[in-house]
Amino acid sequence: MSLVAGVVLGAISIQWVAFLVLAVVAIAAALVVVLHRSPVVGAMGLVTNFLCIAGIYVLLNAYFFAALQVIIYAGAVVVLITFVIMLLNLQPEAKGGPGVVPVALAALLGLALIAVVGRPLLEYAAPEAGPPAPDFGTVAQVGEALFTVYFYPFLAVSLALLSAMVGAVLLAKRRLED
Amino acid sequence: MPEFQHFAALPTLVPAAFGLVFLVFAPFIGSDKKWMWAFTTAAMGLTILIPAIILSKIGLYGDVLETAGVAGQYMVRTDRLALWLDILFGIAGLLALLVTPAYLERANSHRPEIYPLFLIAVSGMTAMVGSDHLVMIFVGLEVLSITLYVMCGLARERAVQVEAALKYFLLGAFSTSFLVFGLALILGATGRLDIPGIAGAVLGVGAGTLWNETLLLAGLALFLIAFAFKVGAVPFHFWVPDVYQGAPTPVTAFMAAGTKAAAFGVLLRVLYAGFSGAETIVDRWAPVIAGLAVATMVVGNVLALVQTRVKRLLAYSSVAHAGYLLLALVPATSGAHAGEIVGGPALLFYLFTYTFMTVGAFIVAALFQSDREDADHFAQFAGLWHRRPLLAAAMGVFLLSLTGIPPLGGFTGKYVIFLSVLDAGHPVLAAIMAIAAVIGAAYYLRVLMLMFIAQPEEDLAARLVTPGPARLALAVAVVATFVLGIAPFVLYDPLLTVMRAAAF
Amino acid sequence: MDLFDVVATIVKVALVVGILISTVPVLTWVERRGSAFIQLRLGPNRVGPLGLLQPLADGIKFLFKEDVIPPHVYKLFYVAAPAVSFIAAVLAFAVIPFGSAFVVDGRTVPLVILDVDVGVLFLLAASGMGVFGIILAGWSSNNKYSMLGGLRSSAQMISYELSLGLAIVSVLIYAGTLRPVEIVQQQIGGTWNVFPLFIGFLILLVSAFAETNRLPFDLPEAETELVAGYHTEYSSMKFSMFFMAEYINMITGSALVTTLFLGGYALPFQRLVFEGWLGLEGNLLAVLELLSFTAKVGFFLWLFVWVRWTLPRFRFDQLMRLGWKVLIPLALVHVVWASLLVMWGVPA
Repeated sequence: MSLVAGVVLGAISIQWVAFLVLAVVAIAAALVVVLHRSPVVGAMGLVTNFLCIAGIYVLLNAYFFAALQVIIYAGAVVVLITFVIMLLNLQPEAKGGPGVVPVALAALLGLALIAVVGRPLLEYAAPEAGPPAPDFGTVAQVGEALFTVYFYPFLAVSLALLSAMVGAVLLAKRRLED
Repeated sequence: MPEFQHFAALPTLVPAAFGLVFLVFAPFIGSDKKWMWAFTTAAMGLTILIPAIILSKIGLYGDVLETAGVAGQYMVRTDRLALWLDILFGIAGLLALLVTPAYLERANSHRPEIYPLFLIAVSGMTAMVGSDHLVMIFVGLEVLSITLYVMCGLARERAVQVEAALKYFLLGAFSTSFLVFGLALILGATGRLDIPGIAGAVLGVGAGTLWNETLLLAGLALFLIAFAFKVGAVPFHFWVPDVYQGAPTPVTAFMAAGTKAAAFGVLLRVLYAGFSGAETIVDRWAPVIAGLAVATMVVGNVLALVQTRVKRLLAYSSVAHAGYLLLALVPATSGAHAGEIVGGPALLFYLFTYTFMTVGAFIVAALFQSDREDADHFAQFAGLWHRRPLLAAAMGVFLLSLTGIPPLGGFTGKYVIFLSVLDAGHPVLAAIMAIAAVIGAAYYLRVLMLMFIAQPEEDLAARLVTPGPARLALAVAVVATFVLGIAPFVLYDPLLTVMRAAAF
Repeated sequence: MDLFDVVATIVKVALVVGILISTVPVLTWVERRGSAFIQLRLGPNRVGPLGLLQPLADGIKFLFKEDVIPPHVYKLFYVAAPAVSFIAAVLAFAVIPFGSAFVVDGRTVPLVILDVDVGVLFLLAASGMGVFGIILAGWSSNNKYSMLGGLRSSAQMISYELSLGLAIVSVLIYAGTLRPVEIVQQQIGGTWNVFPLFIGFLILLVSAFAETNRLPFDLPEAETELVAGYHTEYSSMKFSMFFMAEYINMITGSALVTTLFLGGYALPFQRLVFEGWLGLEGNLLAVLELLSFTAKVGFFLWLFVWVRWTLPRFRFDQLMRLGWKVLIPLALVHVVWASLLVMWGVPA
């Protein structure tokens, strides 16, 4: 409630609140992906996570990437993952899973990682950036960067996709004519 | 129209182009794999030739060809380091290709797709080392990794191959996520993703400002984790034995030599050009590299002692050699070159000798197949000298070289690294290297004794057929090992200039 | 963004959503009467004159039906699926310009809800989310017919998303922009895109049919095949929500084809006749453009109904083969064609 009051009074910006909501939901969804027993519920958690990330992109003025995030990740990757889960008729994990010790160890290492990375972030002092340029994040700008500055990585990524496609067909064809 | 330096990107474009041509026209050629193999081998030969030609001329261009301006600052950087490594990748690919058809035919999994994948993998390696921008390095790593995942799982009817490919894929994808996280942190700490920019921020010169040192170091740590995984350093080595054993042996040979070389090339460039010079930064990552090196050498050698299969043995030996190579990356702490890596030429020289001897050893192991499975148990090698003396002699040369016995390439390689480590002022590390090498000798000598002294047990060796191209590959590897052992200056002297333009 | 804009947007949203939802009953009437005449019978003609109140009767029936949630379903997704389908379908319409602009009190109100730089991508993103409604419905129903229907339907949708996207890409290359408003304005200034990009128009049309699961691509919901496909276990309002989602998808698909290829809200020979000879402008022109848009979308909706009751349905493997082996290569070639046109300077 104080959050609402703060926004109304102009003390806290709406961007901050939006980011908070999106970040919390994204992390919660990610936890669902990892912890829930049913794979389909996990896949839906993944969709939620991706949608929240897309929302964060919108907050960063990167509308093009937000749209791409939804189309590619939430709309294609997760659909295919869910497809495979349903095709293979994966059942929810049986009760059990890793015992207490591995989970505790993993949690400890995870917290250590967060501490190592998080501490400098807390004292972070980047120079003031100011408002973004009016054409920041537009398709035209991204397209120009992609075909000039990042031309060679662009070519190389298409090579990676090509070998992935070759691999997918090679490894998944039902009958191989040798 | 921006100025694209396609000439500088030739080492990457050429194998990729040949791979693409192959993929487009392969359906029309039909299933005559001989032509496909010949085409790919020719393309791989070209991949060795073109960097060599550029290398001979590079002095005229001030030792470096670079993309600049609009065409992606620092995306492609062709200097001596990149060119020598490109030649190395081509050699590794060529030697592996020479034994590929025979191996895959006998394993009944001769899929023609492996040929363009070889070319695309080499292209990814060259893109990775021939760049000064972390984005391009990452993308090149991805091209290489994805292609290797596929190549590892080629004979997908065999469970052990699928397991190897899956393990490599899952762990590799995981380590790539570490890499990207590290890149994000480095970007956050310096605002730049190109190595000169990072160097500027680290040294505080020019337009560089370092906004947060801890963030930069955390990013560097994650970056090192990803590449430590790629070279198989301890404690990121768990995938190496299973993947090396499960993958088709020519692919293993290619991986063992090429991927390692590529990853070390990147580490050398990034650490030498990007993170050296400033005391505070260097003092933080130097102990990490040293620690990784020591752990890798010790664990790799110790674990190899208990192996009973040659491919797995060679996998652990690979891990151990990664340890020796990591030692070359430890910077000097005092003296004229304080804060700099002095082991560059030594690293490259050892990579060359390592390529020849490891690929050679794997080629020999590739010949041991029966019933479509790998039959590389020690029992098969027993008494090889009595059955196939030439083959045993070749294997003997490779094993002795791996041990580090003069006058073979392995010895000169280790010696050069030993000297560079002493040069950098770390006598303790050098001593540990010597001890580890001595421990390592035990398992190599065991196989040697098995081959030369023991009596033959299995009859597979008698039925072995060494096809022509494999003989050629073995001959080349043996000769190269001898040459690099007797006359190392042939390669070492040209390599002395390799770091000349690696920084700015 | 001041109060006027906020109010204008709210009014537009309410109007659009209201019209979309209320067009659905009209469409069902058109479907039932149209199919009847195609099949040489009369169709519903008892409830109200010409059977026009039949959809109302159907709506009342759906409302009063008992809302059953079978015990064996996965409740969360079972209830969420129709909502996801519906929301995705309506959301996609947000970027379609259905008129040029009204001038109210000296302020211009553009007749499009969301005019962002990435308009067409937003539409693709929203309609991509609609697949999840079907997948969730199929899976959560815990029923083998639903599962198979859901799998088939989603496989079909993602296969045809590719040719849909490529056909759209060719228009984007030709137009050089992703904003639907600009695409329409370019067609007003020049020729409608259907003439230089005719193949793309056909590909988009076919893909739209497949995306909306309409005959001849309606195997996933054919009664003779899979009981009722992915909505076997659904009844009353939830079923009608799927129904509405399908019809709204049809409307959005028609609107997309209209906007990209037929000039959107443009009147035929607009520059020449209406603005030039007749000298129309301002709000009157805007109203005519609105009517033009409605007429074009209505034509395509009738086309949807017409084709449904004329053609037999594809078998699933024929469907997949058409999508992957025919439409996608054709769409790729068409993209090259559009690029060539740009290179030759055709879109002036």
